Amino acid sequence: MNKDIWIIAEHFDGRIRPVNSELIAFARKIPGEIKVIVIGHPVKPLAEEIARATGCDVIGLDSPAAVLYNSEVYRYLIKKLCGQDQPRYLLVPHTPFGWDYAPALAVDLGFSAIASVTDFNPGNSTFIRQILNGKLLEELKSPPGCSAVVTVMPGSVKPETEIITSPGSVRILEFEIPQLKTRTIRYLPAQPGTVNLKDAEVIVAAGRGLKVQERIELIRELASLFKRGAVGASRPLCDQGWLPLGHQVGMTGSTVSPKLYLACGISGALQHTMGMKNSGLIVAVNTDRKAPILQVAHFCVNTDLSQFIPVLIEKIRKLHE
Amino acid sequence: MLLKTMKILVCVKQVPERESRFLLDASGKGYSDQGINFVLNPYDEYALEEALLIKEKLPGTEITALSLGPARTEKTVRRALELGADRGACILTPENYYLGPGETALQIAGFSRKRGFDLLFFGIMSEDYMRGQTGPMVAALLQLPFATAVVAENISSDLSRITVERELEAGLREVAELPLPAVLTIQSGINQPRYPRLTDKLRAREQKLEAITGLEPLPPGRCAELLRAFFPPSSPAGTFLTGTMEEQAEKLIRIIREKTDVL
Ligand SMILES: Cc1cc2nc3c(=O)[nH]c(=O)nc-3n(C[C@H](O)[C@H](O)[C@H](O)COP(=O)(O)OP(=O)(O)OC[C@H]3O[C@@H](n4cnc5c(N)ncnc54)[C@H](O)[C@@H]3O)c2cc1C
Repeated sequence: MNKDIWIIAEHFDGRIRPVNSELIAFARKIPGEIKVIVIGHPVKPLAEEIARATGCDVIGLDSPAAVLYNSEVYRYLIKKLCGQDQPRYLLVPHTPFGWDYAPALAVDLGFSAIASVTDFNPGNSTFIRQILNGKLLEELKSPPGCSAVVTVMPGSVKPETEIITSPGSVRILEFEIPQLKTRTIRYLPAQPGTVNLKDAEVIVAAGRGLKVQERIELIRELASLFKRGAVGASRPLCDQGWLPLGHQVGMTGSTVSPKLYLACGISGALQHTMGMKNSGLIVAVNTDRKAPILQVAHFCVNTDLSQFIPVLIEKIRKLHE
Repeated sequence: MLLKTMKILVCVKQVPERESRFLLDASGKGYSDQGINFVLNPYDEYALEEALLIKEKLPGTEITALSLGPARTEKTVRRALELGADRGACILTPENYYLGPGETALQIAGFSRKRGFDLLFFGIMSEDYMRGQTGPMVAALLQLPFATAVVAENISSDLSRITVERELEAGLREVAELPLPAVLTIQSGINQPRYPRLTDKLRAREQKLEAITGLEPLPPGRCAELLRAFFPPSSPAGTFLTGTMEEQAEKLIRIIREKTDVL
């Protein structure tokens, strides 16, 4: 095992995903040489783009089987590469691709596996992650002598923005892949209407704290008092069928940055805040003074939304009169 | 005619109720379970419901619910029976025993190895440790194909394959086909989990569960070491508004007008 940190880059539809700059920034907190691995077909343009943008040395793993994402392909190729030389850490984005292959890869390689980390503590080489919906954090370490596959939660570090003057080196390795069990057939685009909050200036978003379906009318009414106001939601409301998918904000819904985001009864899970934390002004209405949303909100109204929102509606109405 | 049936394993975890308040335990590595009400992991309800929907299409299908945990976990397996699982099994761990993902997966793989399951279902993650690793790890240990974050599935008529839609980001999906047996982790929203029927409730109360004691030993040195659990910074980044409800509403309007042009 060496001291390297290998980042497994993510790309989709021929483009390197922004989460990679976050992984580079995350990796820079850890002592050790950084290398970026990218898997695809053809992989060369992607590898070159990463080398140019990050200045890191890049290894491109190419195989005709790697046109679409396939966990078996990722596991096979990374295992091949680790056959020659094992890094201390394999950093993978905690995304629908990353969380898919990373745990299985850890089993294949006999590495430890640490999921969805948000920070690294260089003092004692530990990783920090949320548990219990963000109510507690835990600190973990891969024991000395044991390499680890670590998935990094998107949105947990500021992306690397350093200006790169000299590109890193690019090495392309080509592989034949043996028979695969899983067959990735195609990607389906988002259904029309599943992501449609982009143009709103104000989003009044409701979460499970709504408790009663009829209270959506309160949220609608409040949103309607703004010229370009829209109703947003956390995932559980859409899962329950209280609101159509198009209202969902977060990782698996829309990413939004309105001038005002009013989060009503939303706890602030990372998958939610990922989609709204760049909003101009964030206000949370929440009965829990410790809800994680308060780490991203600029202002908090610590009361029951079912009582507060009617008062707010009333006052804004008066203003309009 | 050949009777079309499946054997499905649904792994169910016992987790604290969502609204619980937590204190650290004596070890400082986790939360104290004193006074905590434990429930079936909500994400696993979707996994169980998906298995029940398959059973409705393929009567004769047998669903086994398996959980891993201390003695109190039995309640969660019974809950799965109430919801319609046919059999229940529990791998018992000592009280206050920390289970890392690798150790959990090893036990479940050990349990499943010779039982001929066609499908192994998991929730996408547990609400307590939020790791989402168990399903893919079990698959790797059993050398089975797997798919995570499944939001739609369809079994081929000859029962040899399953087509799944995996949820990607921002509304995108991936379509994949896996030969059976296979492991799936099920994403929330794929179905609407049912409420128990009275007959199943009565059956669940009486039914014998399979209890497994003694954990399979872990190969040394492969597991991450848990050092401590701690509370996030208690001071919020933002400002709490103060005063009566009316005053807070007025303050909020003032802030919105100062900082934006939307009012
Ligand atoms: C792979 C994956 C992808 C996901 N993608 C998304 C996504 O895109 N978007 C998303 O939102 N989630 C997503 N989730 C789910 C996410 O992890 C959380 O479970 C979810 O965001 C929680 O929603 P919530 O805040 O509404 O509910 P909860 O976490 O239950 O929070 C409810 C909040 O309401 C407060 N409250 C209760 N009563 C009141 C009251 N009367 N007045 C005021 N406040 C009150 C509570 O204090 C609490 O903070 C995803 C999860 C996974 C595993």
